[in-house]
Amino acid sequence: MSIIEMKEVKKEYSLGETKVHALRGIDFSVEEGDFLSVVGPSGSGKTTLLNIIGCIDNATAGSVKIHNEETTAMNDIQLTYLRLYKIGFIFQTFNLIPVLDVRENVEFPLLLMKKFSRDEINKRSDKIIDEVGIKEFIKHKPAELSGGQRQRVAIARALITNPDIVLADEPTANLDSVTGEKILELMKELNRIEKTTFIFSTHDPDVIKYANHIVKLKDGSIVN
Amino acid sequence: MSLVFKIAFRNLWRHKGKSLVIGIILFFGALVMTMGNAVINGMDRGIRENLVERFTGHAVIMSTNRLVDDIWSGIPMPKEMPVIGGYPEVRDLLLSDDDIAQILPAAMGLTLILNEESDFAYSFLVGVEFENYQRMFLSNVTAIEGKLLDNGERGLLLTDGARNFIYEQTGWWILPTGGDIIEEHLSDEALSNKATLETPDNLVLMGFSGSGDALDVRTEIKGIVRYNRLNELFKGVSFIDIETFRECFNYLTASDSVTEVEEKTKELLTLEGDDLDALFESGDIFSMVDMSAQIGTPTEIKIEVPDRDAEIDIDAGAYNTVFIKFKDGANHQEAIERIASALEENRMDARIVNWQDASGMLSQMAGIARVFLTGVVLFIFFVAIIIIMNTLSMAAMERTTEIGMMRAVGAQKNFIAKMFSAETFALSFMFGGAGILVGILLVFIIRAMQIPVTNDLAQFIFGGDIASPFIDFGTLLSIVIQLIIVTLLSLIYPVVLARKITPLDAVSRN
Repeated sequence: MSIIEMKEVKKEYSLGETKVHALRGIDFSVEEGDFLSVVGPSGSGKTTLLNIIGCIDNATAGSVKIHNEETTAMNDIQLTYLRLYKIGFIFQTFNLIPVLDVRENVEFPLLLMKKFSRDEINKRSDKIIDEVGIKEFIKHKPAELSGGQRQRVAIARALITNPDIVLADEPTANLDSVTGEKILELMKELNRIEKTTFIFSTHDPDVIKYANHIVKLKDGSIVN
Repeated sequence: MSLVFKIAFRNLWRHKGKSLVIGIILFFGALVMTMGNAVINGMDRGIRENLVERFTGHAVIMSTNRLVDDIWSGIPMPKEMPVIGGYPEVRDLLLSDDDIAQILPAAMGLTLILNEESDFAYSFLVGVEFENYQRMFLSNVTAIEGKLLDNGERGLLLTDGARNFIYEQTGWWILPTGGDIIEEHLSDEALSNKATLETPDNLVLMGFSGSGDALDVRTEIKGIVRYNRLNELFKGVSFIDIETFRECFNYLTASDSVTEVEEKTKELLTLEGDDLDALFESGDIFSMVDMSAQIGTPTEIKIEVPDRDAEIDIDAGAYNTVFIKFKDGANHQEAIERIASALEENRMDARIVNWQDASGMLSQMAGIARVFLTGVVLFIFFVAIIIIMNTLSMAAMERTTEIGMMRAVGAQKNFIAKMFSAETFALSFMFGGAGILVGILLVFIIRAMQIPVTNDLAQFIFGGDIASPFIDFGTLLSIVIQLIIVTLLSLIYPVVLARKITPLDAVSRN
């Protein structure tokens, strides 16, 4: 069953008087539980595609459906709820909240939901922190962690709400190769255990081997 | 602690520099607000306690023929200070009003002070039964030389300010009867001329009357006095017993009223309207009067003082002013309107004026000072709002990545607004609160130090001769509300900016 469906999705930017075609009519769908990699060179539109799937950018034209719901017609409040409940984000630069410690960063989306008891939140965060292997750093602030540890925190934060989709934009770009591999193995493992759909972008050919499916982008179009 | 407050407090600590800048502005803003409000309070109370309680009362009665309401300022021309006709009836009406606590009839006017060399000075005098005056106006007058007047006692109480003025004009250093020169009371100039000082203990006064019917009256100086409050402002206003005042101005005195009425006059008074023509029948209604009796040098003039032992109703003489104090809790406006109607209905030659109008320039000065102070406080508000708004806006832009990421993982715009508001209100509470507390402390210190105020305007600003700002609960509440308004106004633009930050802004920055 398709969890994401995109039809004729276009994205254009204006740079002064120049129009940049970031996406030129993308058609593709993603199956539930997939581990999909979006690959392509810099400027091919990988990040734009992920941003539109993650509802943090709007398509200029076309249709984007998540769980059969058209996201292009949603207002800001609906999109924010969608991101909170259905989508997890892992950013290239980790993007943790600097003033919160590891546990608080991981719990952040659950606290925004305001529907779980403290016990439930603790139970969930303990479990996910344990799974991503950062239990001993639970009281550390992001600034006290290495890049790999921070990305693990970001993964735990993305997964704590049991989202349908996790989007990871070049999650290993700022990590050394060993750490990067460990992160990808972790994501793969969580994909297997939690059945969460993972979509990650990369331009690293070594990373591609982890993907179940690959979408190749070039100049804003799918080339495979 | 809620997530918003947790993040807000930690952010404040993380951005200590900015927090401190905003905090310091809030601290000084709150401090100035507190002090400014305390001074305005002090001014309000000062005017009430000093001007109302010690000089004008809550309202003043004057003749309907009086052209100006202001009883203190300017040189009152005769037509502007007519006597109140039928004072006993006016008095009875006032005393029957349930809201009136006290009344004090008086006569006020400018008198010329003459000497043999034809030099002259002048002094504004209040003719009054002085013990009654002291009772009405909280014993606001103290004798620094000589004594105060008793009711019924004749004489003049000259303020030290008026004495200095007379010295400058005539070269006389006035002393109370039987008094000696007190060196520390001498002005600098008088001190340098101490050996040759002329020190009269009586003065010849002449009411300043444009109609030319004022008389010269020699009066003993009973005391040199000072006002306990607002002395600088009122140092030109001295006191005289009411009967001497009436004589100076050729008003009807109480003594006149007990003079035997001639048979002819009785007849005139009992004439019916129809018999008015009879007035002119005998042809002796006009007669020549020898006015030379009133011409001469001041020293030659003698006024025959009536026998004080005779039973005299002092209120039978003329007054031109009645001071009124209302009872506590009385609605002054209502009472004034009611009395005004009653005076009009009874066709009395009297009208009522509230203390603000009766004080004229003095209450206007207070109003101007209050507007100025309020303007200063508002200006500080404005500057504080601009600086805080600017600093917060910069902070919002610098935190684009953090805010955008929060939005990406599911934080609504309201969460961001709450976070910013919590940060600013926390600063406002801590630093603004400290500013208010320090302000209150300073107010207490200023009061405890009893700092004397000699400048006229400053006396109004500080509510008297001593700087006496004060804070009450209502003012405190108003300061807190003002601080909240400043905080809210400072927040609006930065919050709008922060709410506009999108997850895409965070991603783009990466």
